[in-house]
Amino acid sequence: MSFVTQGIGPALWASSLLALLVWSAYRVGARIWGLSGGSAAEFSVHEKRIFFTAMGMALLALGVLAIGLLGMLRREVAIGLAGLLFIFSLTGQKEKAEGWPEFSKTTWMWIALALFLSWLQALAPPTGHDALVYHLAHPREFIESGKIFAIPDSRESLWPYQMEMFFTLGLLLQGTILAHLFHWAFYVLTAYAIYAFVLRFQGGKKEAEWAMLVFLFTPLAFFQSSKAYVELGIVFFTFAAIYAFLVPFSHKKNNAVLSGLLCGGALGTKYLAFGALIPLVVLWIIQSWNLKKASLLFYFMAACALTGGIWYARSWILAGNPIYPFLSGLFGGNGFKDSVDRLTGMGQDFPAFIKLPWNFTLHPDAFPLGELIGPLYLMLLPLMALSVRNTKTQRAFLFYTFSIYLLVFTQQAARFLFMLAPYAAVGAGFAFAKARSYGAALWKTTQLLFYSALVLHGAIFVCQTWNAWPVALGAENARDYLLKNERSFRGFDYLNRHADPKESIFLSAQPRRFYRQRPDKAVFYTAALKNRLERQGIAWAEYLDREHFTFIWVEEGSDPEIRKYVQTHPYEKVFEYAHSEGKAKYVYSIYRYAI
Amino acid sequence: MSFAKRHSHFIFYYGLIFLLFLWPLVFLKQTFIGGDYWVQFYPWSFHYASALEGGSLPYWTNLVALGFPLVAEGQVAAYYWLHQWLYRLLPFEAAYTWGIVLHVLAGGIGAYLYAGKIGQSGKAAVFSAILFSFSTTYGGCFYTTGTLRVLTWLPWCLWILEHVREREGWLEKSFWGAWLAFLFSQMETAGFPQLAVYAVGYLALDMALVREKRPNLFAFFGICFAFSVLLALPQIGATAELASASTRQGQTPEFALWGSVMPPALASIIFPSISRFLSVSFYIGIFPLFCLAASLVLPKTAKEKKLLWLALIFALLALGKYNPLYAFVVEKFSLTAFRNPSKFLFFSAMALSFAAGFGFDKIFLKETVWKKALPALTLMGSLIALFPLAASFLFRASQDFWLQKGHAFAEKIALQKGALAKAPEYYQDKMRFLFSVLQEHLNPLAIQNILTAVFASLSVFIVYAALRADATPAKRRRLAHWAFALLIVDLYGFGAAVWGGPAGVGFIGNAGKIPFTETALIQRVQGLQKEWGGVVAELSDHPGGEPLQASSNMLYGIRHAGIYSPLTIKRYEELFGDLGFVDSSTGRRPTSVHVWRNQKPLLDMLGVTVVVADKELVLEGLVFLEQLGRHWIYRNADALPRIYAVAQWKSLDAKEERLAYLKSPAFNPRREAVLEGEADSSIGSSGADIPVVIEKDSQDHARAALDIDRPTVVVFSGVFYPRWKAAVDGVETRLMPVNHALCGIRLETPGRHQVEFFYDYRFHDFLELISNAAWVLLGSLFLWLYWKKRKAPLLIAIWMGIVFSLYLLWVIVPKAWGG
Repeated sequence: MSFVTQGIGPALWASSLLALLVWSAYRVGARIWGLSGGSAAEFSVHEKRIFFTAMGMALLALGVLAIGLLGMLRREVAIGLAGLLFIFSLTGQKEKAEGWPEFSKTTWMWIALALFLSWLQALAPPTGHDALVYHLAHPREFIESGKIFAIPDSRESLWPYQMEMFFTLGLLLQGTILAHLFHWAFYVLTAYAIYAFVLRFQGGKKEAEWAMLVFLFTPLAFFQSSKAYVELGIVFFTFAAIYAFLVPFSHKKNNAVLSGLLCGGALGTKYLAFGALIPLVVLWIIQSWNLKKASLLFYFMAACALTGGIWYARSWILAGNPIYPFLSGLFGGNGFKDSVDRLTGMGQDFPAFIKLPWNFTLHPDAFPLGELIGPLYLMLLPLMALSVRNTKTQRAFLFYTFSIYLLVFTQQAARFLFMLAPYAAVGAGFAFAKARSYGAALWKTTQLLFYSALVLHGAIFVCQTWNAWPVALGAENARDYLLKNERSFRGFDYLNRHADPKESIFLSAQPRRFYRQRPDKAVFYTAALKNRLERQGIAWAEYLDREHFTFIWVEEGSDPEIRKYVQTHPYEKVFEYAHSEGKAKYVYSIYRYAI
Repeated sequence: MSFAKRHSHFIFYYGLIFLLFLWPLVFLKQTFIGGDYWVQFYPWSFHYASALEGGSLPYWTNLVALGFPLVAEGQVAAYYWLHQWLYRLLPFEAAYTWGIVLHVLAGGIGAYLYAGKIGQSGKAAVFSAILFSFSTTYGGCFYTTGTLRVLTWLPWCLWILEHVREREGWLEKSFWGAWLAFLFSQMETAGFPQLAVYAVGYLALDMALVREKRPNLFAFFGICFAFSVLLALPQIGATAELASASTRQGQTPEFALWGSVMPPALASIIFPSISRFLSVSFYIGIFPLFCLAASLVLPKTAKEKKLLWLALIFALLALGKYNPLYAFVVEKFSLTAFRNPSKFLFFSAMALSFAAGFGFDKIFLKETVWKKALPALTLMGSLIALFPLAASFLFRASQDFWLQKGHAFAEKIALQKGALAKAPEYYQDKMRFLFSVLQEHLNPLAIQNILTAVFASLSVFIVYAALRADATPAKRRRLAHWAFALLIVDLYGFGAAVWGGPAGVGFIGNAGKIPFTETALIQRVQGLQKEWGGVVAELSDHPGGEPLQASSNMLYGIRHAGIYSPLTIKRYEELFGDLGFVDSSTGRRPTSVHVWRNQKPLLDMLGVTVVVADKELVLEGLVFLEQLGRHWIYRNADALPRIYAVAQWKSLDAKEERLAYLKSPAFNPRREAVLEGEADSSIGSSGADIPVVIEKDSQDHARAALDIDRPTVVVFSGVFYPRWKAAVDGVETRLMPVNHALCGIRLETPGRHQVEFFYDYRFHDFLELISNAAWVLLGSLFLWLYWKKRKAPLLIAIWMGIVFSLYLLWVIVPKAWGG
């Protein structure tokens, strides 16, 4: 299994690499900020770490993109890139080492628990669906091809792929553990950013610590952190973007540039970041108007384009649509017809709009894919509301939060709604302060419920990571782990052992592709392919006849035409297996063309 | 003083008798399942819980009759807040059983607080609360758990009114007014509108009997009540609609006066053994009578006087037809919607319970001049002790006279019952039996009478000891504890029938385990119904012995032709009542093969596909399938489908003529329909069957397609009810009664048509919209008022606790359970 790494040795190596890269990114970010004329004096020590690291990471991703587009995507070049980053980070003024945040012992204990368990979970081989479909699978294809390219008949490979650049780097330098840890790093960064934000704008150290813990112990954040997904990336960058807007720099140009760079980082992660861009543009328009400085908006947009624009330019050049495959109607039909998936959780009327926090907290199964947000946000909502003050900072923050709320309301999947988590965590920090102001009885109740929630979720995290311990520590073989826990692996395992590289396969059973090694030619049943065939008026039977695949992999839920095809054509079933995930059961069959 | 210490007497004494009575329910060993609970409340609640799980309310169910508006019926208390939460949060058995326990406790706490509010000491308040919950008021559960739910909140309302009377300021009045409106709405939706009306009447009288601030209080009361109507509007509107179509319409004054309390029955307050005999529930224990005597004899506060007046007024109302004024008003103004005036006794007993609490204080805690109390107490003691002896002597002396009167009464009852009457010998036998029972009860050596004498003696001893001039406060406190012990033994012995006799009326006697279910039969019937559709009907020589009698069939999802509800749809009862499975709480006619034979077309029209009988049946169209135990199962091959069409009809406007025709052998539902108010009839041969293709058949929506070549009546086997509508080819059309109880439409134009029959939810939606707006307003008002009263932290803490608890119950526990 190429790229899959496991065991404590590789884990420690990957963690060291991550620490080195993140530190280098921080230093590079600081240098660039300095070189561009930005002042660091008005940052707190925490803000410096957050913003400079973010900038450095965005630059690192662009670096990987550059070597990919140049067709130099090889391990040696990646090492060279990392080395360059490291060397560059060593240049510049030596800073006095500033201490760690002064958390209380209890807080350190909770942080350690969350970070250790999530880190441990990240050591397990990938099993996340989207990771195996494209987040990790496409970087693997890029590496195997030695370049970054638009993968034929794929919907995702022209999406903003900043996080995927980190995954590519991770796979090149170490393997799946480092790839996971890049996403995990944003879990830590987001929590840290929340701490810094509350400390800056609310002032209470305890409140800031607790707000951070609220985020760390959000089950959805925890579960995402160990997978090669992008949600924590976009959550971090969108939050950092508004944070940068709000930091009270004396020169607003610093705000504009910084928030633009970070917003660009968000745009480079996912299209959903437009939900952050639009309110930020509005805020910058207002700011520019108030300060009579139109240049602020320009700086913001330029900085945005710098870190995020390349992805849209690339899509536009290659597919004629900067936000391929969506809104194809606006871009000469380049893309899909029904391009916006509606993932309605519990309605889209006004009552559903008001009840969304309640529904999302207490009926998580109604929101794909049923992950938990935890009770703390909803519990603290009244206190959050009571702590609102009519200040410019709060108005801007609430406007931004509300815009994102509006956006994710239209796409009610749990991981989209998760974009609201840092704002809610910040609100929780303010809520704690408010609870304290109401007297001992309420404060004690709040503390009791807060710690109860932490204990409850901590227990859930321990249970959740139980399976990961053996494989993380090397006691269990990665193959055995994947056979039990990942539904496509057994099929690919069969193919990797029985298929000839020169043969071909059509996969309509499931879209996960990361574990495929053989045969070389593999075509997946994708929406893009289906779309293309429909446009060309080609039926599946005709297509399959023409392509003459050696293997066809189907599942009970596969397209009926394809299932009928294997029954009515000279294909014989050579392998079948069943896999259960929770209540769902999958039955897969691999057919081979019978000569 | 800590909370526990301050309320230690309540926690101990009330808690003790609470557990004595209710421990099987608290630990889910038993539930209320006897009598009507098995054929109404339990299966209805089950159906309600299932509907809630599916995210809706059971506005309409097709499991009984040919459909029934269960929410409108009211007793399932669909809109009652506690129900909505309990049945969502807990498994059904726990929600149903603990609902009873919670209400008894809530009522007890309310009574305790109210008694304290009107000036009773802590111990006296406990005394009143015990009497409220465990004398024959049973906290409201003297009749059904519906009455329990309603009357649980009455003491709380009384507390609020007392509180508001003492307070000034708009903020306080608004705050408590909002709570009062909320409690009124809960009483209105709790499942027994009649008792809700009576409770409001009690509250109004309570206010009227105190001159102080009367106009202001009435205005306050009126506003709260009006707002509560808005809150409860969906229930009120739905029930009003059903009531207008139910058997309660057009009832006679005799109906309303049924259940009147005979004046001698009031003696059961000192002579409890005759309560069951005279079908009356009026006993508060022997020692409380001495407390009442003390209250009567000694100087009283205004509140005491008010309670005694209320007790008297409601006792007089309970006399019903024996109270000339009451009978006159009912007849004059045709107030026939409510019946059974004995329900007023609850309010009388409740008022006496609180009055007894004042007497308790006079005996134990106040410096009462014992000489003043002594004569009355002596008289009371003598009466109680000697009454059984005197009554026995009198009864024996006049036995023949009473026997003659009894026979005449039995004949009168038989005549009154009319069509529902059983054989005359049945009533005479019953009368003779009653006489022998009365003889037994009046025997001074009967166990209950001996106990009454013993309790009276002990009470006299306690009272004398407490009232003696040399009785120290410490001694009085000890005696008070003995009084509690005596009270608990007395009430528990009576209520749980420890000394023999039928267990506590309306209360703990209903507790038991779920009856044995004949699983094989049920599964078989379920299978048959799944295969053939239609409904089940049962025929049994032993009324009440059917295995699936309505509504217990709802537990198994089996559709049944029968129904048992006080609000049975009148047309359904009029047409199908003879068949013996319709009971509108006035008794069910016995099922009879003879009647079924004569009215077999009605069975076919009902869509009865499966018949379960406890004997062999020979009926045309019935095909024997198998015998399971002592049950014979038949298929009715002639059952008509849910939608069918006929090309022949006649219009019979006169109801009696119509019903007579429909029940006659001349009626053939397969060929003709009977309409009303139509100007024409179709004459001539109906020709061949008109094929109807049923495309959809669900509980609240049916759709079919048919091709016609002449005007046709499409008959839908659903009971005619205002909420049902019809559409032809997508256009709403007039739905009319067909065959008196069913519904249908006329199609005039030949050709292919699609017909739809659907339950129209718009009425409910509209009322719920208004109600929800009122709830939002009330909620906002509460929040604002709590905010103004600086109680925001309390609200926030409650909110956080609720969210966390729900998160555990709804999210974590199911996930942990499901692995």
